[in-house]
Amino acid sequence: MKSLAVDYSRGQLKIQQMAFVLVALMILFGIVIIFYVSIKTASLKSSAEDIGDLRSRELARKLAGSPEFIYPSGECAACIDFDKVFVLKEKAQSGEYSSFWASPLIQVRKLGYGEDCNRQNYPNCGVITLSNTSDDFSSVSSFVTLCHYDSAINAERCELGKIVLGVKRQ
Amino acid sequence: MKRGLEVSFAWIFAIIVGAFILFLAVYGAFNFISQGEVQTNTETSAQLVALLSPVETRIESGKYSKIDFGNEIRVTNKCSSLGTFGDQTISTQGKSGFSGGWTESGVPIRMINKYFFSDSIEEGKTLHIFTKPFYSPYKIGDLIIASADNYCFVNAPEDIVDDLKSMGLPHISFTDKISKCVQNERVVCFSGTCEIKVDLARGAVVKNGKIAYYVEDENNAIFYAAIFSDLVIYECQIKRLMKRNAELAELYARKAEFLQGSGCSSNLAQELRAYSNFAGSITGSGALGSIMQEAERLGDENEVLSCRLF
Repeated sequence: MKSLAVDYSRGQLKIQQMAFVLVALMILFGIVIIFYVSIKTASLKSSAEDIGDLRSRELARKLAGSPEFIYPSGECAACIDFDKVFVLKEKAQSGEYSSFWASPLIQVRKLGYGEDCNRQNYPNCGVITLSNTSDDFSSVSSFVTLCHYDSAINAERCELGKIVLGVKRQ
Repeated sequence: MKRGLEVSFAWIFAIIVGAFILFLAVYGAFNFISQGEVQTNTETSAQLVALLSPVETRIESGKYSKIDFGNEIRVTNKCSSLGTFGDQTISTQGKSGFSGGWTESGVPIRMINKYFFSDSIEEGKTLHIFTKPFYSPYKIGDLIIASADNYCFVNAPEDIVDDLKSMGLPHISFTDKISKCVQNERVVCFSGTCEIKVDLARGAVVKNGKIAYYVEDENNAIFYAAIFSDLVIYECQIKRLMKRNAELAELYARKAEFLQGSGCSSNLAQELRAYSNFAGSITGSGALGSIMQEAERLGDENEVLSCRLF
């Protein structure tokens, strides 16, 4: 009777030991997995940001060459048609172009002018905003040449400007 | 009395719980790996789309780029012409290290302002990409033509051979007989019968029993797109291009009206609006010929303006 009681408590102890070891192993695996996932997620986030940034810089460089911006071909291949962009602004407000470039901010700025362009002050104005859908972004910009038809000289007038693009924060 | 095999409770407990933990660990590992593969595939798709921006043209008449993935990659191209501009999605799959089969596809990356022509599924370690701008009569967009296969052009016209050779495309060979094409090359013939048959007289490409029409534009952009693309994707992309054409025509019509107030009269607004309606309503590549005729006429009218619209 006595020995049976001793065997029973020894068996219980072994089960408890085994259970503790297994629980400890589980916790250890859990910590290792959480550690690995957090490192992997951080590196994924940074690579996603890198890709987003790369895309935006390329977009800023290439946007000036897209048909909606490009100056009448043959005259200045690297210029932006300010007249067309101004008209595009009015068209963009109707929504068709809202998701076309997938950027929270697209702005064309003429250096030396600060006012937003409208029918009253055009072309003596400095900012045409084509898209401004969010406040949560950082911006990249690229220098461009802005050209428009000037009735005073009956020819094109070209000035230095910038194209500004918003990059969504991850 | 003979004693049977005795297994203590501790062993039974350890085996059951151990098996459970092992199962959890294996299941978790597989899940984790497949999730990692999906993330990797999504990243690859995003990088591929990011790499498509530098291949777009500005003043060039064509551009060639090669993307080496390092490993075998499957690129799935889907196109939809619904909405103002339509859209297309690109997704990639890599090969699994365990089974050797294709892993689960990454999240498709959506593109609205790009025109990626390829087979619906491209498989290989390298993707050959060449870009051609498409004008009608103004620039509508860059056609990005991608292929993982090698091609053999049989009896191609001299101007086509010169144009493709000038871009230095390594995946295209030229010959005068089908029998001279290397095995695994996809054959494009300009006479006789083969996998991709070009009918120059009708301005058509016949592939897998399907027919698609092209037009001879300045850079042969549409022509190449028809040859290298799956014809269902080609027809969808043509509709997307024409939708953008319609939006651009409307934009130029507005510009014409706007400049009229600044003393630059063109009287092209009405014609551009009619052209916009026509381009926006086409249902397939069969209407491209009429579109190009109208585009040529508008282009001629624009050429003689004192302040050109496009």
